[in-house]
Amino acid sequence: MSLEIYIPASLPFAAALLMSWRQPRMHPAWTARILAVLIGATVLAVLCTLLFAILAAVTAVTAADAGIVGDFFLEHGPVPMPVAVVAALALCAMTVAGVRTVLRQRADLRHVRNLGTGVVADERPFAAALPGRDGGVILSTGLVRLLTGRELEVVLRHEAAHIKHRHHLYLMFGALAARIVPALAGAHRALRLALERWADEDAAEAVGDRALTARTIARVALANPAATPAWYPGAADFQVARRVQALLRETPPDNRITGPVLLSGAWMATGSAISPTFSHYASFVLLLV
Amino acid sequence: MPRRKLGQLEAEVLAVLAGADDFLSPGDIAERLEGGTAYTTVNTILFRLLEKNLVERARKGRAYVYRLTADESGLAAERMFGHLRLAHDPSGVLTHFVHGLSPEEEAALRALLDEHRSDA
Repeated sequence: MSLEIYIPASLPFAAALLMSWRQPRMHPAWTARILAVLIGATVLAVLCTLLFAILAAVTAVTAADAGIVGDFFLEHGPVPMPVAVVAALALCAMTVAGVRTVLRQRADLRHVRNLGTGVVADERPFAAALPGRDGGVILSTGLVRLLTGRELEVVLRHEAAHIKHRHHLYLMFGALAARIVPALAGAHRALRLALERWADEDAAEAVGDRALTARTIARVALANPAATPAWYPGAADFQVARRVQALLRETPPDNRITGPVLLSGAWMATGSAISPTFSHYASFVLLLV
Repeated sequence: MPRRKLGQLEAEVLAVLAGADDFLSPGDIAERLEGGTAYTTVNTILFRLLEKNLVERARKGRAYVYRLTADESGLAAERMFGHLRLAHDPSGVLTHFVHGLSPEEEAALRALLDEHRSDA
């Protein structure tokens, strides 16, 4: 077994790690899109690699077969059975985690849809966007009491941006990916930050006041009782502070050119990383048939 | 006009009302929304918001004018958010404005604000 079979999965993963560690100075909309592509590519490549290892171990490839489907099987060498067993176990665990997450997301969606939008009685000042065509915003009485009209406008513009750009799809996808491949937790966090920054930038543009937007975020955050976000074990990533800091700086460039270029670069890198795995996989299926 | 989602429009209409000090007519609101939203659409949204007690209206001449509800007694007080897990939303179904701060993050945020204030 050659180490090359790890390359497809490790390339997008390394890019996602790099991107979450050092976010390039670009508009958060592009950061979010690129991160989402890299996260998706990593999950796909990991799943394909595991499938490949399992298939390679259970299929006996001989030199005679190699003539039919190409000779890369022989180059890779046989995959030892223990590796395939580990791969199968990992694949099972990932499937279970993925299915459980999807079921929970569906239950949560149903719950918030039943709750509906509008103001809910709660002392904690919070606002949330409910996705979908019939969505809207959920505000707490605590928030309405805390903020001035202009500040409330910031919050509502922020939530409108979430709905407009379908951020819940990115978030649900990121949560699912991080459950399937736990190593993506950091990239998932970076994606969350990018999405909040994206909505912040939209809100700041709509109200035309970056400082007001920054102040509103800080006020709401400081008025919230300290929460220990249980789904970020041990991670102090200071998302609110980073959002406020970014708003106190000047408007980020909108990256009309670099954004699309980097995004398509990510797509192409993804494609070229995954396609060898896919072709290997396809030829194995051919061989089995 | 690109078809906007009702939820998005709802939030935008609320935002316009929140930013205004006075009652606004549907025409005023339509004017302040980007992308030329139709008057009838704004009316639909306002009706939805009225049903949810998010806005109140008054008569001005023959038309209605609206503003954000300031009266909390009209709010659905029995509608509790509940569901603690969703308040922390690990599954990404809800997009929250902010989350609560850890003591360290609170300190960092306060330092940042102080620094900015001294700059200004």
